Amino acid sequence: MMESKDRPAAIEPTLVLPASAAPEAPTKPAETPTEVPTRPERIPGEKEKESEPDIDEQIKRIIREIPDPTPQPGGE
Amino acid sequence: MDGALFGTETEYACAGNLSPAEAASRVKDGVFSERKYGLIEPAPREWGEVPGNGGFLFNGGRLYLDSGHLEYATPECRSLHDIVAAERGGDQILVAAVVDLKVENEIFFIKNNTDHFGHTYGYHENYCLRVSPRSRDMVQGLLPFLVTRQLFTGSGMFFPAALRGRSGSRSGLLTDSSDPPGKSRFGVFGGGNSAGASRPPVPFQISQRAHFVSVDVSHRVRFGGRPILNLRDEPLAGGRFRRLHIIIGDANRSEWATALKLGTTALVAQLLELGWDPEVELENAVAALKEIARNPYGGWTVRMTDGKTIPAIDIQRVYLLEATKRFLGRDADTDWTLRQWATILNALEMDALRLDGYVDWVTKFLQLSHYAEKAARGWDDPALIKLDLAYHHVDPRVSLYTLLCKQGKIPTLVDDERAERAMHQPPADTRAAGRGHVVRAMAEARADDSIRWEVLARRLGERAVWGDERFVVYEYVDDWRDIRDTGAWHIIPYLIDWGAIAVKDHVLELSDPFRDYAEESERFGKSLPSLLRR
Repeated sequence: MMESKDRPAAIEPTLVLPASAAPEAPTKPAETPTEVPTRPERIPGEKEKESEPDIDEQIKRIIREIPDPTPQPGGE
Repeated sequence: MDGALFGTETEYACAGNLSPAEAASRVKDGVFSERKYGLIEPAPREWGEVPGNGGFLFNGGRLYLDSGHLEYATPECRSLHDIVAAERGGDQILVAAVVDLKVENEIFFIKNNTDHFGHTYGYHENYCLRVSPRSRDMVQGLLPFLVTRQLFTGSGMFFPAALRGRSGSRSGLLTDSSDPPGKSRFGVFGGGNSAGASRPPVPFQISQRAHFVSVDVSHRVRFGGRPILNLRDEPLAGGRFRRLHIIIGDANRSEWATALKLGTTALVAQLLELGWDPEVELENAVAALKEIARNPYGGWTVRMTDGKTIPAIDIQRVYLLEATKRFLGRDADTDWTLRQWATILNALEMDALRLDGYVDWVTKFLQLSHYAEKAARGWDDPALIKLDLAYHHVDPRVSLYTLLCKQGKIPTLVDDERAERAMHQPPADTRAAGRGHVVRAMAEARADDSIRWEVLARRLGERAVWGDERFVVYEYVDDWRDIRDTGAWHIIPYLIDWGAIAVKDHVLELSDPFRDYAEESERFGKSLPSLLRR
């Protein structure tokens, strides 16, 4: 099979997989807090979080700057 | 992903100073006017596509006007990485075209599926099959999966007060009325095991499309009822290939959700092609779809034909278990999909909050909840519509999604460099590679200079009047043989299609979507200057 030149070996990132939910046996896991899937603390290769102004302020800016909602044609 | 081939179509919404249809048309013209991203198509096509309605792109995809929207169809892809990159490449072509036209403060594209005024527009998925997508086994096998996959593919939708009024019962729209008040089986607000936590009704649905669906299957996409599964049988490829056309999906911003949506659905289609029967049948697929969508709090259940009610997540696990048994270890994309599928079902069952940044509806629900908590009018604050739309804006300057990515709250699968390349380069391992090569060669040869637009309008167009509107109705060209048979190559010098490219009777057939057609497209490209001079 031909491989895409740009494709890495595996698509990343991934959610952390709890031991109880290994794909070999995707059964209902026990409901204990320790088995709750958690987000990786740092995704491999992920850039250091940029120093950004307060997100609430940025959201207010975005709401100010985007146009008002506009009726769209029905699609498909 | 072994044996799989897929692509998507996105109808973008548009806001700004111009009407959405005018803006879409202007940007379409801008994309093709300088041959910077692709080449315009001269032939009038079925479905009301007039000459110059769209064109094919150097990345192997297509950009065109449809029902007043600018629509982007990705090239055919075989890997999850490629399809995510191809979708992002399309987004970025629109952003770049708006900048090229110097209208970046006047035209804004939005990748979503509802305008909050009661209209919906499509996001369609296409999967290559070797069996009929219309077979009873395929349809019945797909429906329970499609109804329940919104749990991780939904983009989320704020439901403004105006629409709530139109939809009848407020309680029916906003909450799962089968639950006693004040109880939370798991709480988006309350955490995984917070029984008794408050569960306020909220005007939010986890899917954008579910609200607008009225039938389970249909041969049409809009008239006669919008379906979960469209049975259009239009392979766009050679004899043994068929095309599954799914129209229930939401356009995702999360790249992780896009990859999981395409990956899981491709695996399920492969299971059904092999003749596997999931042996699950919903009593009413449309009702189940809507009921799940209306409940952002978890504990989703569906009613089966045998009268039993079971967790929606267990439906997904039926498919996951079989896909794992048959496909685990096959290739990297398959294994990634199986791992993430298992993980997300567990997370949805225990605490959907953990999926913030991965699943669009969860991310958006948390953002909107946070805003509503601080707003004087709570969930009735009119700015919530704008915040919802902001998540879907593709212009990074005003995109809430992009802001969250920059802050490290949403992981991406494709880096900026790869996304930039996907604007111009097709995937290397499908027929899109051959198509992209030839389209670029045609653009370099300025093939569109030979189009005789005025003659084309006179020969194939007929003036018509509908009410107060005057327009031209065109005889449409079905494929290159129509041009050959009418001897119209001097008017329409070329025709580009998904399955073939023709330049004045010279045809490059692209009937096998799994081939790259490298040698054929190279030869065809070299012959173009002499062909166009004839």
